[in-house]
Amino acid sequence: MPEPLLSVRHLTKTYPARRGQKLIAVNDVSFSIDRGEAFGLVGESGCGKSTIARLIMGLEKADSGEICLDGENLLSLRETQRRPHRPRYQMVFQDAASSLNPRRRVRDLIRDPMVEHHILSGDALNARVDALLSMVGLHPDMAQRYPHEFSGGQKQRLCIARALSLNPELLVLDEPVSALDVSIQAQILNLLRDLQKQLHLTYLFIGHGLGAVRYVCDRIAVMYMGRIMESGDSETLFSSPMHPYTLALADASPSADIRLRGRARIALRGEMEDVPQTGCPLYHRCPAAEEACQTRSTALEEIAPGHWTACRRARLLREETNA
Amino acid sequence: MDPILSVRNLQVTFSGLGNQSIATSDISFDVFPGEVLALVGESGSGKSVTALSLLSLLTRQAKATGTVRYRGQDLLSLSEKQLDAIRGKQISMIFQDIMNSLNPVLTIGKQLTEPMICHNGLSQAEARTRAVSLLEQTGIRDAQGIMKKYPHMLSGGMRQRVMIAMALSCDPELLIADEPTTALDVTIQLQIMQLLSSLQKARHMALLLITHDLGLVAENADRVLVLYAGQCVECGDVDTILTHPLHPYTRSLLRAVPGIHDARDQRLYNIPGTVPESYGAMTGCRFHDRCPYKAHCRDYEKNAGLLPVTDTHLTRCAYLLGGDCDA
Amino acid sequence: MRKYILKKLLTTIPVLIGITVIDFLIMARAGSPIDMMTGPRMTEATKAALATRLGLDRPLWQQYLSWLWELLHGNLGYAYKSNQPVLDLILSHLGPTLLLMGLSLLMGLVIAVPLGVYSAVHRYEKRDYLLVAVSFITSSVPGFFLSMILIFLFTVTLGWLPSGGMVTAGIGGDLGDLVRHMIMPVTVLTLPIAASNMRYIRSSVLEILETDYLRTARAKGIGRRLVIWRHAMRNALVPIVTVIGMQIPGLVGGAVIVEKIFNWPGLGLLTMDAIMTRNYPLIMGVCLLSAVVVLLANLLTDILYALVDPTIRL
Repeated sequence: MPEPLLSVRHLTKTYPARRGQKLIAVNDVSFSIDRGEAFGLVGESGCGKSTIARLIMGLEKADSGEICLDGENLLSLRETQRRPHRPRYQMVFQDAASSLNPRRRVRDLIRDPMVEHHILSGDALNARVDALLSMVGLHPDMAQRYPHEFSGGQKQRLCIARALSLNPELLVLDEPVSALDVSIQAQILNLLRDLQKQLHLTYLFIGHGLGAVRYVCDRIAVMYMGRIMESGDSETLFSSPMHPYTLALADASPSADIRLRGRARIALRGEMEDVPQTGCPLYHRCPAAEEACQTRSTALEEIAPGHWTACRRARLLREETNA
Repeated sequence: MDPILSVRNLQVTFSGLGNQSIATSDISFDVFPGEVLALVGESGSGKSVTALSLLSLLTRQAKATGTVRYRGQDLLSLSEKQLDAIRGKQISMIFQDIMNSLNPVLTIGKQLTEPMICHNGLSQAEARTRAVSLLEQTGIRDAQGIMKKYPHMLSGGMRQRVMIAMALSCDPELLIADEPTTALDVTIQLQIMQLLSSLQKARHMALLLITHDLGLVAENADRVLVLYAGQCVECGDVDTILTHPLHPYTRSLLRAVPGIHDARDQRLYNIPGTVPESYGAMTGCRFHDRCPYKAHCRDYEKNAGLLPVTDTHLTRCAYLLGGDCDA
Repeated sequence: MRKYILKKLLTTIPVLIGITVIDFLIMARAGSPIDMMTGPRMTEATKAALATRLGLDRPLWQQYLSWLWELLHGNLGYAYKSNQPVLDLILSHLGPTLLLMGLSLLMGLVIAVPLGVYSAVHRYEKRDYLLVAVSFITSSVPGFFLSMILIFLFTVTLGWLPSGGMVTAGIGGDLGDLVRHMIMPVTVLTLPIAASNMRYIRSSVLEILETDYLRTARAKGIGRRLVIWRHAMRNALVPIVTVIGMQIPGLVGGAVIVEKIFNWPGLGLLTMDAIMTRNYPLIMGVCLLSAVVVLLANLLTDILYALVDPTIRL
């Protein structure tokens, strides 16, 4: 089997909180993404999905764990050693407007990373900017404009063009469509799907809209309170979820299909609370919880080929059906 | 049945330094007792402006014309003082930006009891007792404790529950909910929508739901008004609008949302382009530039107005209706 | 809260020492008091003797340390020439200054708050523009000029008010007399304070009026008065507290020019004289007092913040 392009192993990140306590943002998370694969991380705010993106990009320092790009652990590298690897993984943020310097022209914005990494120069550089703009569906003439002259969707296209300028292998997309209107969302999602095919890109797509993540990604991991609860093939993950949290997320996602109106839905009790992390983090909200869930650890287990879940009840249920 | 709220030809204009921009033009609809009417549209469609103009809550630069008839009065022509007798008592409102919709320096108890003291003449103690029971009705367990807290100590979901309790405290006939769950996570969104829906039914209260999410419309609304570029482009009951829409914008919008059970190889429909930035002076069809039937439609320059498909279903698209624009 | 105050008070000690060191160094560069005290006919020997008596012949760091040593024993030293204890001098001048400035600040706020709120509520209307214009004009009239106009009008022409001092010599002492002496200086000091604070309050309230929670308050139909005075005002106070906090040290510094013109026996006048005569102990005393007041005002501002805004926890 070929080596995965990105593999994250036992990644943990904590932040200091009030009264000397620690907030565990990312808790022993492991996953890997094959070359050319689109991998999604979904979860609600505060689940740690964006922290993982920032850790991969080196915007924050992990407490422990490994982030391997092509087998090389980025976390063991010093900044100077890491620099040559940087063009290989690029990021697109949710807030396109504030990730574009308002005082610089689009041409410069897209050119900067290439100049910085000595990729191209002179006419070739300008030609490359034009090509990148066309690639993301913008007219090359727009290169002379400033970011504020673009609409929200177009700004996100600019960010994508800039991220692609260094020919990255891995694109980390942190909620790239969450701030956009429905009709614009569809444009960007289609663009991302097309680009991935065209350029054989590998995606780490982070989002909270299940539909959008599923549309782009081949595999999805569902996170809750810093941990992966369930992961699997995106075709089947939401249609046959094994973890109550995945089920609740899928149930809670509004559907425009009128036939589904009034369907029975699993609503989680209460809200995400910082509870002591023995046992299952979902314990106090879970409709299927039993007392043992409060104390027993919940490691991910492969419950079907490629389908991992961190619910001990799921295992029991499956054993019952198998017996 | 008579509508409780009747909006006719509502037009909102914002005047800045020397220039004017029209945010909504010619919006008309009725809200009937006990029903859930959804105003759906993307940003810039004019849905929030419409909602805010009903109770004259827009900034001073905004000017609303047309009529908003409520119990024989035109709300747009009332003075602030006359409006205050209706606001929060007969018609109340909850907002999208839950983090900033409660006053940060006043306790929940203080803010929650205010409408009851002002409108119903309750004493401080009576209002507090009722406030606690309202909080309990919205599913807050430690209601007594919450009364003493400040907004920043509560989560988003809790704040929206408090907002709902506050809006319902004087038993309004109509609740206007402006994107009430947009800022919340989906599992909390489900809780809040279930709560709103059960309270609405139990109190036989009308709900005007402003949202961009067709999913929420499908799950909660009885009737739908689809807004685009400051106009109503289609309206009807929720079944019809979501299953047999007759306006290309509604059709496109429905095909642009990725569902979690859709076939993944099916491509999402792309609505090309963006909402026109200033549409006040536009004549004819405002969706024409982005319309999939652009090449076939000849009458896009005529001002179609809303055309009846059936008794309850109206559309602004003459082309898809198959008739001609003068009909 | 108590822990915070204690911590804050402890950190002021090194800050205070730092300030006095810097003051001492600057002062030593500004010239010798001997030259100010002595005439041209005094011999070098007498000058040297004077310097020795005052301790000015010693190295600077020794002078500073002995000053600090005395300070720790509650002794601020003695003013040159008059030989009065510095502490007594400062205390006797502090009262009139606090009275004058405190009253002016209070009056300034009493005028500024309602006008600022009124202006903000009627934003972009004619009355708002008028108030803002008046406020700018008031701010830009120099204090000495206004003082002279007032003296010319009320003392010289009409003869209603005394031109200076705090009490009328001989008969003075009753409240009416004090008030008559205070009207003009207080007016001169109040107007600019009121004018600038009015604009602060106006812009602060304006900002609050645009907030979502104010819209919520309006949507509740609780009436304009509650919306403004309960919902807007307390939030608007938060930035205003900062501004007032910055104005408090001015209370002690006094208004040198106004005190001089109206011959008000305050700290400003005392400080001015001390500087002109290089009266080191007195200058150091005043500097120390200002430093203490500034630091206390900061602490007070922090505490007020916490009282006004529940999201701030000390």
